[in-house]
Amino acid sequence: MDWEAVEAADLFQACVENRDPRAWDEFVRRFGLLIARTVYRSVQRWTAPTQEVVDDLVQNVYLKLCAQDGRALRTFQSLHPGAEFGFLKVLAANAVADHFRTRKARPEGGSTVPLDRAPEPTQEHGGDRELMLREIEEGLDRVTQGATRERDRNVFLLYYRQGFSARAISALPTVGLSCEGVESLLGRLTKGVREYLSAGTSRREAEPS
Amino acid sequence: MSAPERGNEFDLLRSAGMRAGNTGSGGSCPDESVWLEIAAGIADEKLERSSVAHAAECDRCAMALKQAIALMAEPEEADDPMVLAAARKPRFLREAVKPVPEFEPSPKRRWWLGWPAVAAVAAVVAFVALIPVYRLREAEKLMARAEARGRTSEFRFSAAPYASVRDGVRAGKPDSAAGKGSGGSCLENAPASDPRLMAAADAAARAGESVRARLARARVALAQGCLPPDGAGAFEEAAREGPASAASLNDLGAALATMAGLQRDEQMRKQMLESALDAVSRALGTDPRHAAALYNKTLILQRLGRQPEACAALTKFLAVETDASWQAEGKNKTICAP
Repeated sequence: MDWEAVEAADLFQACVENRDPRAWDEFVRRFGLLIARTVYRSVQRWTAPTQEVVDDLVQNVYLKLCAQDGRALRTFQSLHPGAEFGFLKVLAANAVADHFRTRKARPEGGSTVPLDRAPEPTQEHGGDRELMLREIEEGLDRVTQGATRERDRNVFLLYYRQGFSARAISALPTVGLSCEGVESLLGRLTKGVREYLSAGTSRREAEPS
Repeated sequence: MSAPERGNEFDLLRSAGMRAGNTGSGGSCPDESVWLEIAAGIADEKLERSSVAHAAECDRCAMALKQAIALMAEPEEADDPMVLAAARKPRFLREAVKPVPEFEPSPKRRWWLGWPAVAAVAAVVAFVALIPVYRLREAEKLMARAEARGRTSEFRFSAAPYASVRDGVRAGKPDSAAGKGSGGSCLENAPASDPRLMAAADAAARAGESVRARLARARVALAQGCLPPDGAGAFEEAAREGPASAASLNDLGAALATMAGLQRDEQMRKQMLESALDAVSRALGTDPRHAAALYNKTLILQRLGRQPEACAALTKFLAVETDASWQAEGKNKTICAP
């Protein structure tokens, strides 16, 4: 059998059934680097990688694949082309996270900021600040219209509020835009919100104090 | 086109999120694996949509999503050697999954390479092997037919039926220059050109290299009045190989005696006659009532000039011979003094 031409789901099945060691050879050929790379990067979140740790965790990933009579591989369903790569990446990243969580380790550069180190909110000009935020929200509501309204709003907030890069946003499947597309959308939204804010400033200045 | 610059009025949004420790607008935070699935592109679309909307306003989830995206992104740099080293087949798989013999699918079964082929080859081999046997039988048959028309030697071979001696055989003289037949020396008036004997010689020449085949060739040569290529070798071998039978020893004696007649050298002729006498005597030692051996002994002793012994042998021959033709020929011999 020519394993190189076999679909991922069939290859997974052959590996589970342990019919032919060449199936595993092909599995490692296709996905070995992907698994090792994902493990290495995941380990970096928790600690400085060493060859021993990476090797052990890669082995751990394969053990998870074979656990419960290969349940993970048996139940895999490819919903779209290339889904097997995402599936194995998630499995590898979760395997590493599980490993370090059981050791009660904390990720380096963790996702949370301790409250005592959180910047204190500035109390000065609190009224102006709230007003400004409300106007941005209103401007955003004004410039986001139609079927893509929710998406456009999320893109705007992920960029300005959460600090995502345009490339990171374009990596989200539901956004459905290339990096350039995200940049273009952000440019349009920013311009629209700014125009709304400018109009509001003019409005306020025109109003009698 | 590049993304808009940050560090402007929209930074308020960022500081607002940080300040509030916002957990999003849409309820509880999804599990961390959801962010991995979203980043890997394998999450359910509905779940992804709601989760991304949540992350847009939840700092902690946004951070998790950002890290997941970074984790799942294609590498921009070459892989660390550590990664490459870890990308090999894991140890436990190498041990757990033992190699199996290479399976070579046979797209089309070649039935004709099976037993039919073996049978065909066997048939060809058998046919080839049987050709010499067939030739030998043919040579012996032709020889018998030729002998039935008249003996070409005065001496008597064991299996030969009675036939009168051909004219001229007795009077024949060795003629090495003639070179007829398969041997070197032939009698001057030898029956070498007898078509049956020639056909027998041809068949015997292609009858292989068995003792019996060489014996047939030697018999044919002698019948043609010529010396066999290996002399009495075939007869000696036949007498030596099997159990010392009277028949084979008698044939050796008959052959030697016939060959003695082809010798021009008197001394050599006498020596061969002595050897022939020895052979027939051994034949009679095995079977004292062997008629052909007694007949040959009579003629050999006669040619050696030992008349009384020849007469005694003839008397014994006449006493044991039951074939009327041979009896008659024996009685015609004028060996014993009246």
